[in-house]
Amino acid sequence: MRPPALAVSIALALVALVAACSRGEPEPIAEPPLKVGFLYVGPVGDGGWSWAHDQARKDLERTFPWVETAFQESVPEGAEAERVLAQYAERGYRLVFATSFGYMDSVLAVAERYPDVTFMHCSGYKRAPNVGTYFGRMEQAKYLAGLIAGRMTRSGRIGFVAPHPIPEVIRLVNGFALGVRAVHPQATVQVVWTNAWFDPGKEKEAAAALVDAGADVVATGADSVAPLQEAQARGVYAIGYDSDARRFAPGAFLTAPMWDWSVVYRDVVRRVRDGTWTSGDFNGGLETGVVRLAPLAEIVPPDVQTLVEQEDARIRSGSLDIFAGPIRDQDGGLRVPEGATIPDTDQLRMDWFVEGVQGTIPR
Amino acid sequence: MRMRLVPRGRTSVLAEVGVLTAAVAVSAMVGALVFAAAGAPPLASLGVLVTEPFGSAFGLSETLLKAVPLGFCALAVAAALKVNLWNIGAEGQFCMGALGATWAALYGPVVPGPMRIGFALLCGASMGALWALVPGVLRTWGRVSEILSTLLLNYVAIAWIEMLVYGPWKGEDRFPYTAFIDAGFWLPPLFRRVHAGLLLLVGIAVLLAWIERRTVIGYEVRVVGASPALARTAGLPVAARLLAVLAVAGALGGLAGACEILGVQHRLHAQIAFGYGYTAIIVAFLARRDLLASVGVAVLFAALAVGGDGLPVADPALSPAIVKVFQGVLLLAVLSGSTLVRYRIVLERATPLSTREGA
Repeated sequence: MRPPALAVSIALALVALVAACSRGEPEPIAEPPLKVGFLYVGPVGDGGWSWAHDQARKDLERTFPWVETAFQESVPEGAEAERVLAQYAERGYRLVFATSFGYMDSVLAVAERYPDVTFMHCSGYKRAPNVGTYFGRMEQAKYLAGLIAGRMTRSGRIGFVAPHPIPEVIRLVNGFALGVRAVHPQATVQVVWTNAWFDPGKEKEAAAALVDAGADVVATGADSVAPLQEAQARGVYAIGYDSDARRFAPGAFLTAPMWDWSVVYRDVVRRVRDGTWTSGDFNGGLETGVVRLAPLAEIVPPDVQTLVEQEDARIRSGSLDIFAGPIRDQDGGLRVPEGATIPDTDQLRMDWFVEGVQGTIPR
Repeated sequence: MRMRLVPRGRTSVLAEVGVLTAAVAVSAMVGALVFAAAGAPPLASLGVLVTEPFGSAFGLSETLLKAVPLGFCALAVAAALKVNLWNIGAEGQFCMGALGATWAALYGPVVPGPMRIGFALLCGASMGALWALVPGVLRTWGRVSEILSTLLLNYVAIAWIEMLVYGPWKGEDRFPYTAFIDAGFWLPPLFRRVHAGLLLLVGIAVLLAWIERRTVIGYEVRVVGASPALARTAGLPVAARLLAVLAVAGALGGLAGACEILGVQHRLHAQIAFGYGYTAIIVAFLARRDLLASVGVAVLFAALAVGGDGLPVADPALSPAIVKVFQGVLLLAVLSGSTLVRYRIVLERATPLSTREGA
């Protein structure tokens, strides 16, 4: 029987290694660093969601000499995430940011086993004494992007590459569509699902299908820059997401709603270090800087730029609530009457599209 | 010039141990260089690859936990190789097994308490077996290559899961996963996160190895694998044996998925398999198609994954990408070593061309 040979040889090599590795640790420094771990659902090079979180991680390293960070990328939601979270806790990390909705129950499970470690879960709603949640009102920035799309389209048909049919994404599509319809009441926003956070192939195909269907502006809500590249290749406008990726589509790029997670991360690491952190939820809008628009491309006409600045200011000051009624759903039914708005709890469970969105939500 | 791999015939165990040790040593040296270049202490970093998966109760439990789905999938590949069929479909069988077990736990008939787990495992195994029988039938009666059909059915299986978790099986969060299954369906824990699926894996591997070596059925399967023509001449029902082996292989893949649902994840979601079925092909290859060895190599692969994930956590100078470089080098070295021990490279002149040149 041959097979055990492999096991024996690997074991031999491993033993030799361990013997070679028993060396002293480096000398302790005055203040032990605050070790902060990050869990990403995509690769840091996605140019999108995970990239944006990683920018804020690097910002922490630059800003605070007492912070030491590490990250794990492309961690599948489920049992794998649970292990990686625990690996951080086992190695003395005091704070872990888990940056995808699907990590929620893994975070809760691990947090219970390691009560001394602080966990921050992005976009979830379950909290514990050592688990906080954070997110931002990205729908506001999507609304501003929608204004631009509505003014730039000639065909009145706008495409939207959307990842998962879940409330978080549906809310962003709706914010975008409300912006579009505010300046172009006849325009439609057609949605294609990719069923993945990060899948450049599917995202490119989705963008191509949307252009084939007549869209002359393609917006994306998924994590890669593939839809921008497809828009560039097909000669239509593109609106990105998560990062200022104009260099990938210099002729097509209009703007991109972006995250600046350093707004949250700087505050959290300070509090954890001082011992003043308590569990809670952060959900800031444009006024906090956690969400914003990338600088508009030069091809966006000055009057549109002015409009976006005005509406940006109105949202920041609180005089414009993008989810204020009247809002109708895609079948024409009145969902939010005049004078009412959509409370946060309903936004978390949103499973309907506003008027003007073409596409179905799987039931 | 043309390169050909010629089997060496008998090779000594000593040579094999030597070559593989050298392969691991060479990759360790390459790894040390890469780690040092990244600014991490090379030896300590290599040490993490050992201490993370084996050096603590936590690490050991995580390694064994990951070895269960990988081991079952490797068995699914190795079992089919007994009759020279390439089962590239363990990934899909895993998915269908997970689907079957989830159905049993969430939507199945009411089963008396103690029999629940067994029933869910049976549902998972059956779904996996049915999924593998499709390529079996296509091959037996349609002459369709099982390599292609098993591979392509993986995507169909994932599409089934997506249809269910985005649609009728969607849980309360409206996120693409089902509700948690009832705790009565959970495989009992052994220690930390490790569950009874580990015992099931070892038990089934031993049972199958015994059947292969000590029973008439096992003998027949070996004959069919060695030479279908001979088996046919001897009056063995070749098609029936091929189908039976594929069904067993599929059931093993199905058990991988079922154990993952009942033992760890406790709910179905679209990312449930994420490549175990493909990694299992390498595992079965390195295990020389041997069933028991497949389980052992699966543990080593699980350790490599757990250790690799531990590296950037232990030393942030090492990014996950650098770890992947090392894992790639190690895999390449071990696979090449493993191949070169069994085959030698023969360089041949392409005769027709040289003749013409000479003329």
